[in-house]
Parts: sequence; C-alpha cells; structure tokens
Amino acid sequence: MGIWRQRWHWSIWLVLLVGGGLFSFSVERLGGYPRKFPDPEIQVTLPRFVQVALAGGDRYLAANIAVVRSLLNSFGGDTRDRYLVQARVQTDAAWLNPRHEDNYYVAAALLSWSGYVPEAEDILLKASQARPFDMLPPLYLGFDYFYFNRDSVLGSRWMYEAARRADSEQNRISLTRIASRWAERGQDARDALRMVEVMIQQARGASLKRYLELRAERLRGLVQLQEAAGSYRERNGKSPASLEDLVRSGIVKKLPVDPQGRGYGMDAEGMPMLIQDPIRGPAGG
Amino acid sequence: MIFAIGLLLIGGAYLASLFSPRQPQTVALDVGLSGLRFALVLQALFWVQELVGREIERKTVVLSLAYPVPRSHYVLGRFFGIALLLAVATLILALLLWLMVLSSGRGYDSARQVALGLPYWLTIGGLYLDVLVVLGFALCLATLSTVLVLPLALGAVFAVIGRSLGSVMDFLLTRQADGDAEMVAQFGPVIRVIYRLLPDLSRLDWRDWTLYNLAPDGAGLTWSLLMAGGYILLLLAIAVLAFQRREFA
Repeated sequence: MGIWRQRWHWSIWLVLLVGGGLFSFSVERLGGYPRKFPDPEIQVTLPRFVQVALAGGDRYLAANIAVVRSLLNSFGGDTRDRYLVQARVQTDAAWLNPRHEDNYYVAAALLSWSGYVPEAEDILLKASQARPFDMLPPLYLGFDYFYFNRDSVLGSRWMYEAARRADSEQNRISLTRIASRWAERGQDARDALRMVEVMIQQARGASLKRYLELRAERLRGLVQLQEAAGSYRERNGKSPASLEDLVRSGIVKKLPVDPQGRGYGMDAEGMPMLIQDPIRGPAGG
Repeated sequence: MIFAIGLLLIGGAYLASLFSPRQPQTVALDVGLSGLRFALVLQALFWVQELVGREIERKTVVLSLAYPVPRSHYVLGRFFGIALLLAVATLILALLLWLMVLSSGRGYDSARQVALGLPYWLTIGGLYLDVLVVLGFALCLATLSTVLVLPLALGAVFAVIGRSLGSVMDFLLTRQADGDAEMVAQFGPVIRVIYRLLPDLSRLDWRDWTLYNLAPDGAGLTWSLLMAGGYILLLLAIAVLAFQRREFA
C-alpha cells in the first residue's frame, strides 16, 4: 500500500515536469511562427447587430468601440488591407451612431484619400443628415463630390448646405462663393443659373448678394450663347467653330459681356463655356 | 460596491475620452452613459437575487408572509424598495459622471458642446426607467423560479435583447438587411413577434439629447414612456399573481 502511494506521489511530479516541459518548449517554438489571419474582412467586421449584442445591446457603445478601433487602426496587413478594414469599421460605426464626430472626421481625412471614396461619402452623408447643426460634414461631402467624383453639381449643392450652416458671416460668404463657383462648372448652364439664383434669394448681406448677381449675369450670358449654339447646329447641321460664327450667322446680334471680365470661350465640341481661372487643386489650397 | 463600479466606470470613460481627437467630452459622456446603464442593470439584478431570490431559497420569506398583510404587498414592497435603492445609486453615479465630464476635455473646441443641464438629467431619467423595466422582469422571474440564478441570468439576457431590439429592427426592416432579401424573409417575422412581446428598451435611450443637444420628438417620447410604464405594470401584475399562487413548503 505504502509503495503504491509513494509511486503515485512520484508520478504526479513526473506528469508535472512533462507537462511543464511540453508547455514551455511549445511556447518557445510557437513564438517564432507567424500568425495566420483570415481575410481581414471577416476577421474584423462582425455583422452589425452582433456588434451591438456584444456591447450589451448598446448601440452607442458599439459605435464607440468601432471608432476607437478605427483610430488605433493596427489591424496589420499591408496598407491596402488596412484601409479596406478601416473603411468597413468606419461604415459600421456610422450606422451605429451617425453623429459620431471623430468617425466622420477621420473618414474625411483618411478614407477618401486612400481610394475609399464611396465609403467616405456614405459616412459623410449620414453625418450631414444626423448633425443638422454642424457645417463640416456637408463641407467635406461637397468637396468629396467635387474633387473625387468630379461632380460639381452635387458638390456645389452640399457646399451650399455647409454655407447655410456656417457659424460665422465670414465662413458663410466664402463657402457660398465656392458653392457658386462650382455650380458654374456644371454641365448645363441653366442648372447652374438656377442654383445661383436660389443662392441669391437666400443670401444675407449686400456684398455677397452683389457678388452672386454678377455670377448670375455671367451665367445668363452663357445660357444665351449655348441656346444660340443649339440653333446654329439645327440650321447648319454642324457646331460653330467659334463664338464669332454665332454673330456672323446672325443668331446673336453681339456677344454678351461678362460682368466679371473673364469672358466666354468654346470647348472642343463647339459648346460655349465660361473661361475659368485655372482650376487650383483643392489639396494645394 | 456601487462606488467601486462607479470609479471603474468613470475611469473607463475618461480613458475612452483620451482616444478622441475631436470630441473628448462627448466620448467621455457617451461611454460613461453606457457604463452607467451596465452597472445599474447589474446592480438591479444583484439586489433582486439578494433581496428576493435568496429569501425564497432560504425560506425566510415565510416569516415575512406570516404578517397579516396581503402577499401582493410583499412583491410591490420589494419592487419599490429596490427601485428606491436604484434611484440613489443612479443619482450618485450620474453625479460622479457629471463632474468627470465637466472637468474633462476643457479647452477643446468641439463643433457642439455637450448639454449637461436638463437634457443630461432627463437622459439619466430615461436610463433609470430602462433599468426599472429590467428590475420588473427579474422580480417577476424571481417569484416564479425555483432556481436562484435564473432571474440573474435571464434578466441579463432580457436587458441585452431588449436593448438590441431597436438596432435589429432598424437593420432588418428599415434597411432591409442591406438588400439581403432572404435574411429579411427568414428573420423578419420572428423579429416582429419578438417586438410584440419584449419592450424596445433602446427607445428609452435619449442620449442624443445630452450628447448633441438634439431633443427626441415629443410624441415618440410619450409613447416610449407609456410603453415602459405599461410593461412594468404588466410584469408586476404577473409577479403578484404568481406569488399569490406559490406554495412555500
């Protein structure tokens, strides 16, 4: 009996040693092994209501967790993977709490510049709608549409919304100016004119109103020229080669005068257009 | 215990605010409110277990029932007693959080400052009502159940599901599961049934009010209050009925 007990005692120590040895040996070996991650898409973004349930059913907490995650952004992988995950996490956060300020800010600052433009626009659109007091989301959104999608109509619409929410007179004036300048780059001069006319109606302050009136006047000249070019095409079966053709053919008596002094031109397709200041890249200021 | 949880919660909220580049106060308040709700739900379930469940388990409840008062008084007395304790706990934690948010993130120019006046206290009120619904549910289970931990466990599940319900409804029915028609067809009817049975506790979360100064609309607010109040009454009635029929042998 005593011998058996002794052996039993002894074997426990043996098991302990073997187990401990195995453990420390394998831990040592494992350290060198690279960890294999599944596709980052699956790895990091759980279905949205699972995220909510994990946060104890608390949607706001789930949003905060997602935002902190996107701010830390240490999901490894190469940069393409990283931004893919970033975009997913941030889109989720925007659904969980569209009002989160950090989330839309990071989206504007990071996502659209890394090629995830639709995601950034989705987040900014949600923020613009959910934060009616905040001028920044529509401002970023308008900029995104204008700069990344080359959609000056949508861009100007959101820029104008930003101007409406502006916190100071100074900001309001400068944002309205940007909005109206973008509106003029729209395809159809009549759309742009309508946009500027709406702005005039809602403009407060005489100097801003005067500035917009000049723009409207300039656009009216363009509308007149574009309509004349249309009649020219109908009559001659081809586009005018220059603005002077319109005068020579008698469709317009004389070319409209641009009150802002930059004048009108003709694009490659024979469509009258505004002569712009050289477009400055928004990144360069 | 409440103070330990409180300090933990305030610390957590403060840490979370350090992560926020743009709106530390808002994030501190946001995370703080989440923690507050979490702590209060746990506290409510704990008190139900200690003050009702354990009494029934140890049969000491028989002593209370020996007094010449109806059994319903026992149930209602426990409910209002715990509700009062919770009110004190809520007040203490809310004050701590309030002070922490006030003192954190000074000097930052967020787009909109948090509203720490009346909106804050009304939000806390909504949160308290949310916890009362959970309390009612746990109490109701405690009068029915013969297993001590059942009210605690199911109460926690109830708190999570009730809170998630709004998000799930939103995702599945309002957004049509992002175009996943199969998912909508599969889970839509189930969710609709659950929605008829369990309260949507996320309707009592008015924190947009204090976080972004966006007041909830009056009609929605009124219906949420009625929903919560009605559900509490329903639970209490079931609890009283079950308790009256229960035999303590």
